[in-house]
Amino acid sequence: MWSSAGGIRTALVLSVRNGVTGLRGVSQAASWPAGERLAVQTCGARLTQPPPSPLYTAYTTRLFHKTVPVCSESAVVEDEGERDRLYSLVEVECRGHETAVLRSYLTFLSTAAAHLGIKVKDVKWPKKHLQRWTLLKAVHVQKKHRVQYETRTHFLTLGLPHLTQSTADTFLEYIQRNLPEGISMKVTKHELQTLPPHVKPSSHVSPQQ
Amino acid sequence: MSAVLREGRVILFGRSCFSQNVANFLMPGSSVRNLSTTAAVQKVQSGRYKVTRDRSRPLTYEMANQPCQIAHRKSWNSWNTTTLYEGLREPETVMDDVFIRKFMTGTWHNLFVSEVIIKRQHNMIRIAGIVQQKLAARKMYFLIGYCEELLSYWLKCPVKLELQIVSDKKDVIYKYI
Repeated sequence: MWSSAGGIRTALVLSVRNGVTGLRGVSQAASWPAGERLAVQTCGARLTQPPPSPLYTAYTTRLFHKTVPVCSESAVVEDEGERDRLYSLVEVECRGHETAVLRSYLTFLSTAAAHLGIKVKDVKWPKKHLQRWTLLKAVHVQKKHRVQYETRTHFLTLGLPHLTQSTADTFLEYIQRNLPEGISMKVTKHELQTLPPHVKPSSHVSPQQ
Repeated sequence: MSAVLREGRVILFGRSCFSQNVANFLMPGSSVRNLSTTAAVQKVQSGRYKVTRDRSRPLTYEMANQPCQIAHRKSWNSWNTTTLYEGLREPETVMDDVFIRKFMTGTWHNLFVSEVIIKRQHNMIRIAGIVQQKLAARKMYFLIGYCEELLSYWLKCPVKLELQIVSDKKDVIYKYI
């Protein structure tokens, strides 16, 4: 579901080391409904968020495994750091003065994505933006004689659904390093986050199936 | 003798019956200089070169195509994102480009046979152009390093020179007019 190429952060290991301060999730695990086995990711000295409530899976990610947590002193955490973020969508918008350059850049981008197994969807070409000036042709008087200039900005938008942070960073860095001069890029990342701990389901909400 | 001004055509000639007589008080039959003017013509003169009688003026491809041919037969000399919709830092970039062009044509004195092309990618500036092969290779390397070093200090970003060398100046001439 989540395409990840290289740098996969799948370190979901429960550590029973006393020195680790990030055992908040473990203490909260007792309050979770029985039958749900939770494996809390340790991040060295800090734990990012506790596992999410199953009621809000539409807005959060399932960050837990339904496997028996491995308790080991020598558990190797692949990446001692923050948890890999998950993006539901990474929007890329390119702007340029020439459509030919944008088209060739799209070919490069889609080929690179195909090689890496990254899906590219919604390739759109929004309407170009025109900026026009009508100026006096002469330095002094001659109001009847004007000169007109026009600047055209062409757009190209596409989306990369369901990426991990490492994939997105790698792919975007590769794409941006090869951005031609005169083309600008705007990247919008839609991240999926767990709900903060103080947000609890209200009593009026019926539990999900 | 005729003189063409920007505002209109002013034609001076010896005798005419159709022009405004400058010296009306003179007796008919005397030689009179007359003026004849037209309305303001406002012809476009930018980037256009006058044809010579013996077709001796050399033009590069860039000079031969007028500014109206940009994006048709010509491309730009400056490549950056400042002129795009919601582009940033446009006036500063223009001034930087002016400075770079003056610096390059001055350092490579009489050696550039094309325009100085300036491309901006991320925080890098790439300067391209065609240079004559008048200097020894060592001097060229020195000048390349000198330009890159000083320009990067002035403009506060990496500067790379990508010069091409042409042995004969006549190789870049497109036509004679």
